[in-house]
Amino acid sequence: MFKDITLGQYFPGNSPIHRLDPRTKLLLMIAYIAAVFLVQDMWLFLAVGAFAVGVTLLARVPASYLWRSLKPLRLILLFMFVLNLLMIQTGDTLFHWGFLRITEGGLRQAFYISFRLILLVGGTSLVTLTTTPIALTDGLERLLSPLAVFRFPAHELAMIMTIALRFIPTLLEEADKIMKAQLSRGADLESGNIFQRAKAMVPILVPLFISSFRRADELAMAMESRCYHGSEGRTRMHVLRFSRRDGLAAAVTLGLIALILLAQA
Amino acid sequence: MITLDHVSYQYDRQDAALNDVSLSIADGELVAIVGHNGSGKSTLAKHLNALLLPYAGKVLVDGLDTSDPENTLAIRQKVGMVFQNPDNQLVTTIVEEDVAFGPENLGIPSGEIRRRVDEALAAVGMEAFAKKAPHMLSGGQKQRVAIAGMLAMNPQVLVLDEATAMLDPQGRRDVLEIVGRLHKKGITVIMITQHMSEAALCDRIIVLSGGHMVLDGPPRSVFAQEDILRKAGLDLPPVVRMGALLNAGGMSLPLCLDVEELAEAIWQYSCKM
Amino acid sequence: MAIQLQNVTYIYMEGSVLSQAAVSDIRLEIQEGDFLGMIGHTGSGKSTLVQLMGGLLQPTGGRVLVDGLDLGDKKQRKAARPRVGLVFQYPEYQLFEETVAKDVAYGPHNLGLAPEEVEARVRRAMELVGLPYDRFGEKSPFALSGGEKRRAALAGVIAMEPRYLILDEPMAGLDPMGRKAILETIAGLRQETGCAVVMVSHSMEDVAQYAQRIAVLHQGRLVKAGAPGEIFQEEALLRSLGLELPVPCRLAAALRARGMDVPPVYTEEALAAFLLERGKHV
Repeated sequence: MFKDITLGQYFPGNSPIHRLDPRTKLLLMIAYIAAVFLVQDMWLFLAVGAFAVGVTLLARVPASYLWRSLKPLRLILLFMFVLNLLMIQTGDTLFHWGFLRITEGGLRQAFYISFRLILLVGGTSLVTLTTTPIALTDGLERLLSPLAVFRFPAHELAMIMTIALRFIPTLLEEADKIMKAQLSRGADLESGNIFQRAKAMVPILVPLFISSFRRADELAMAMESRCYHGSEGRTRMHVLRFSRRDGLAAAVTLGLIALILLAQA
Repeated sequence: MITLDHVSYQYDRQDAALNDVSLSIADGELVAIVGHNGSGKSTLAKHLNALLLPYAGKVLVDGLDTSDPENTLAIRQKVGMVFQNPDNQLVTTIVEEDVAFGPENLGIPSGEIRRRVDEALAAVGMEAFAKKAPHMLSGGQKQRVAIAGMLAMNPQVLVLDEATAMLDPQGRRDVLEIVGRLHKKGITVIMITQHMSEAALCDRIIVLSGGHMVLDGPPRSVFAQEDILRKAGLDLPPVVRMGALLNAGGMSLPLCLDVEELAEAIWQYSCKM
Repeated sequence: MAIQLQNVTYIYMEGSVLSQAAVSDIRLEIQEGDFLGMIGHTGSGKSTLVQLMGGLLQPTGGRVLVDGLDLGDKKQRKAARPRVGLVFQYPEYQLFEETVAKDVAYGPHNLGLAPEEVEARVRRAMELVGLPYDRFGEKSPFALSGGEKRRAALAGVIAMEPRYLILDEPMAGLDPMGRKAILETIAGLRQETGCAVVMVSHSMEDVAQYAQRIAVLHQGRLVKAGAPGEIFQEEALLRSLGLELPVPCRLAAALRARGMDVPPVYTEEALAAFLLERGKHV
């Protein structure tokens, strides 16, 4: 029953954005994040927003998918908005009642921080929506691989991510199976206080741990059998190559960001 | 060519898992290694590609000693191993990426990997699933992908360590059919199994019990040793058992391995009467 | 007294694009003391049916009654659950306690029984599966062999003393000795306690040998149910569903093709008896 879960939030497609090299997307995402943090002007926020909307349209990702990634943000957004509104006391006073004082500076900051959060989450979601987890891991590994000089385990991290992505559905399915087995042995997972409930989870968690260890053991053996010996001398079937499209995307994105920052200056 | 020369192995604080086993398997053979749980058959399998190293004795694969670490990669490239649990041997989230995993580890150029992956997936009939996620496949399909992952390494020997034990009959039939085809193409196949009817399909059966090799020969001569098989905790395959049951009742039928052969023998026997 | 499946339908992910009928319109009754074998391909709906009978899934259509209690009703389901014991595939993966005795006691303990009664049941169940309490009670379940683990898990369900024992592929992955031990335990349990058994299996030989009735499932539908003799007569039907007939059936068919008049038989003993008897008279 867990077979249908989609991991990450990849939205399958073949748009120009989908086809960009994952490294391009990751690097431009960093530039975009920097821009979002540097912008301090309502109009320029709208410009960055327009850029994000443009990319969304180009990627042909339905707005509902983007909305879904923004949804969990609502509470934080509200909290940050109110916090900034009440705590920042600069500029003209707009409203005063008892200890509550809302200033023009506070209101501006409240809006800025909200925009920033929305643009940040929306923009990064756009990357995960248009890039498969495996391409993302791949891009990350290759971007970080120069750091191997400093003994940074880029390949190992990417391998860990890949295996995690591969096994999460398997383990969820297994958890479901074990849960059903214990339920049919009269396990009560629904009543009692928090301690009783935690205790009731033991018959599910213990077998799950044991089986995870067994899986890890067997997987290690299978990987060894397939000549796995770390990143040394390893090649890849899919070689990432920057294409003209990547150059174009970088030029447009960086150009726009430069323009926006110039306008601000 | 694989040679085991007086091989013994022991897990921590336990009885010997393998006890002075000597045998050799020639290129192009189709061999079954059978035994009950704990007979040492999986331990033996893991010696064939240097996952385990003998405590005493020697294992040679194509002349290479498995206990020399220099040889490990070369041996693992030559001897492909498919394990029992279909879930625990696929590494990545996309079928074709997984098949590429072995060749990638061998440092093969990208274009050549692509060619091998396509060829291997076609050999197991899984081309249509190249872009699918492994967890969406059935057990039998996962095992076929695992076999493809081995084929992509161009092995000389394929070891199936109880690779059909967790499959349904359809999955088992599919895997056995592929294995049969690969054998015809010249790959040496070693099947570790508990299913005597699978062993009956091989040219040679090696029986292990308590870490010892107790029988080694073609199916007909091995199945004739019912007592030794019983003592080793094994059954006869259903067809052979049926024949034995009739012989015990007074008929005298030759040892038959499949239903048609047995039917013909019974028919001949009853015509003679 | 029976488990009654009344036009049971179960649709996965109902209402979504992925919705798919796992079982459709199943009518089946398991009487007390029955031994029902359930055969069919992977994906034929066997596992869904097992979960429906155990009250772990609620039918999206029709009703499941256990001794008259409707599993669709939360209260009645609670009362019905102890009557149905479920043994899932590879049940040894649910063992979790420090000792075998404690693990077997988990189910009876959850039933709220007195400690003496729990212990008595644990002893009985362990004896039944061939893991005597005195030798195995204090062992860690993880120190057992594969076959012993399977039997310990089985004991954990038997100790709840269900009226209906439902097993999903109980012999999968075991060696011949392990298989025999499980099958004989199940048959012995049924004889001793009179509980009904529903056994899902891929092994036609085992089903032919032990079941009194057989239900054939295909693509979520009940294709046929009846005595083994009736079912195995339907050679063409079973073949068309991709199900392999037991060896004695195939042998009998091969002999008939040669002109021998073989009656419908499906066990080795029956076919051997017929052939040997025939040999004496010819």
